[in-house]
Amino acid sequence: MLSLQRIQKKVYGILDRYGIVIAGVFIFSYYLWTALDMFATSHPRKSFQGYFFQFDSLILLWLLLVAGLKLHEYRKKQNNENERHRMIALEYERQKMQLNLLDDVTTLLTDAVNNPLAVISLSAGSIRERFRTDDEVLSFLDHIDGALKRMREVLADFHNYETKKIINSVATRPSPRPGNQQSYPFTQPSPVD
Amino acid sequence: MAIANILLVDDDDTLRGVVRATLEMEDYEIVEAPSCRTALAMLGKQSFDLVLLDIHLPDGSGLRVLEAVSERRPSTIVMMMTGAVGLDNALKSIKLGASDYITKPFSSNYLLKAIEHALLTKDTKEGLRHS
Repeated sequence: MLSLQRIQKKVYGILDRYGIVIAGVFIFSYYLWTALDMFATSHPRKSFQGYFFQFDSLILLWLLLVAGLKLHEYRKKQNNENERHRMIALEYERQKMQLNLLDDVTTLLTDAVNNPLAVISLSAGSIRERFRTDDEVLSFLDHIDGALKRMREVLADFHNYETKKIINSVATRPSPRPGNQQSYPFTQPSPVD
Repeated sequence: MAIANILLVDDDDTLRGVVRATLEMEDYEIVEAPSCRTALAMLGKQSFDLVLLDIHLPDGSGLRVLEAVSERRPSTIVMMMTGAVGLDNALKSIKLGASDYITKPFSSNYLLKAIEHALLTKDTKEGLRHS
């Protein structure tokens, strides 16, 4: 069974490479054989009809060979298409895995950064409560709050960027060809409070 | 006398210290737990009005503690807090019975208002149950 498949594969390989040559050899062999047969016959004089019927199957043979070659070409095209789909699916899975990993890292990173930010935010709140009348201290606290807000926006942007990439990768299947990958700009900061 | 007693579960020592200081200024009584195991042990010993619970803890997910509270002490309010962004855990928490889900970093005002709101809701519900 296995050797049969191997032979079949080899035959297809030869057909792929030398299809036209094989068809030509086949047709011209037939033509040669038919011509020899014609001259070997005992009737030296032949009518036009006689000549025509002597070579009538030649046209059919040409047509059959053309049809065969076309069928082979179609099968080859289909195999290539299947292979392309398989490559796309592989590439899609690989990108999905990469994005999931990136999402995990982003989640860990935001968690790790947000804890100290919460400490700063809560401490600033307590100081504000204690120095309610001191304008100088309040002005410094405003600076801290502004910086905290900016950091929150950067983290939110970063997370949104990753989320957008994941959603996009799931919604559209990427092409395996290089240079077809899209990049996404950061989104506008959203208010986080 | 304390307004309410709160179990604060978070693995970050500094954050626990700051949250404790912020809440004690408002007369809340605070008990701290740095892990799921300690939190569950505390919950076994005494009852709390509210549990402030971090999701990412060193010995497991805070959702495990949330489940235990929902089973053992259904009258206790649980407020989840996390530094991670994402809806998955928020949805899971609400499904498991958390009353609120706050994301770090939060301001002291925001935290106090959220706790106040949660306790008020609890009082209203209990009042309706007794009437």
